[in-house]
Amino acid sequence: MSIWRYANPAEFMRISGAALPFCIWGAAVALVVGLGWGLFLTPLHYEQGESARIIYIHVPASMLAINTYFLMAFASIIGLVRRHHVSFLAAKAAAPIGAGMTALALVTGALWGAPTWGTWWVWDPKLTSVLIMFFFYIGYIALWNAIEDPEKAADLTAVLCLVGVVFAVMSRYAVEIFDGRTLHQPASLSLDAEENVANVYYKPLLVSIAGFYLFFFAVMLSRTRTEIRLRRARALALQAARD
Amino acid sequence: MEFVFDMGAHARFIWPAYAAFLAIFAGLALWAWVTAGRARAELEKREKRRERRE
Repeated sequence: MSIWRYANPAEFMRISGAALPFCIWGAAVALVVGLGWGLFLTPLHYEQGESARIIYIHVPASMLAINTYFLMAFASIIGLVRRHHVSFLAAKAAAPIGAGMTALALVTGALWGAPTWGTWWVWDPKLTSVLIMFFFYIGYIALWNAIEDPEKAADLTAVLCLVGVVFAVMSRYAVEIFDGRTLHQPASLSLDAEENVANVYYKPLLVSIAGFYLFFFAVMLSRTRTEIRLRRARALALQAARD
Repeated sequence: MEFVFDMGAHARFIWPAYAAFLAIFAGLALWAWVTAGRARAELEKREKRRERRE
């Protein structure tokens, strides 16, 4: 069975309609448990003090900010190559969530940095890349809204999205690329257990990350469904105008 | 496991971070919900008009 059948709007509406309640309720439970656990039930961090409680928001928001951009780029390539409109619409639906997550990562990063580094902001390669990625998100959303023809808007925004991928890659790998020359520390999570934060912080962080991702899928599925409906409504309006 | 509510000197950084989270998540959820309702209503209206024409 081909995966491309999911690119059919009717099939997408059927499957996303079934998945949506699980994402919504899963997100609500995981966010309450993960953030409640992290905020109120974890011990004081020996180095960062109480400010370590911000990581339960900052780490998932940063991961999602970068991965949403990669997902949009992937959807844009599929849209450009295979001309599947659901791909373009999924990228369009994901952009404001990615922008929101990037804004949250920047704000919580500043709030964490002030007591930990002694500064709200530095023009560090990682932080600067994330800021530029945020501008790409805003530019992408603005371009969709600025072009009236949806076909043209889909193509141009996909190209813009692909141009910005370099900043998503930089946001993800800046610490490794600029080894030792960035203020930002390496990732808090890794497949190698020794590099992870201590277990007592790690478990609530994983639950919080699950909550953020489920929330992302809930909003993205809902917004893609909305875009499909609006596209259908536009097509009916055009048909009525022709008749 | 001890319940901690007093965030000490870092409270002025922690609570705004969680407030920003609430604001952005509530905003995104509300936006998705409101636009979904509007799109559903718009499509229903267009489909009814088409049915009437046919």
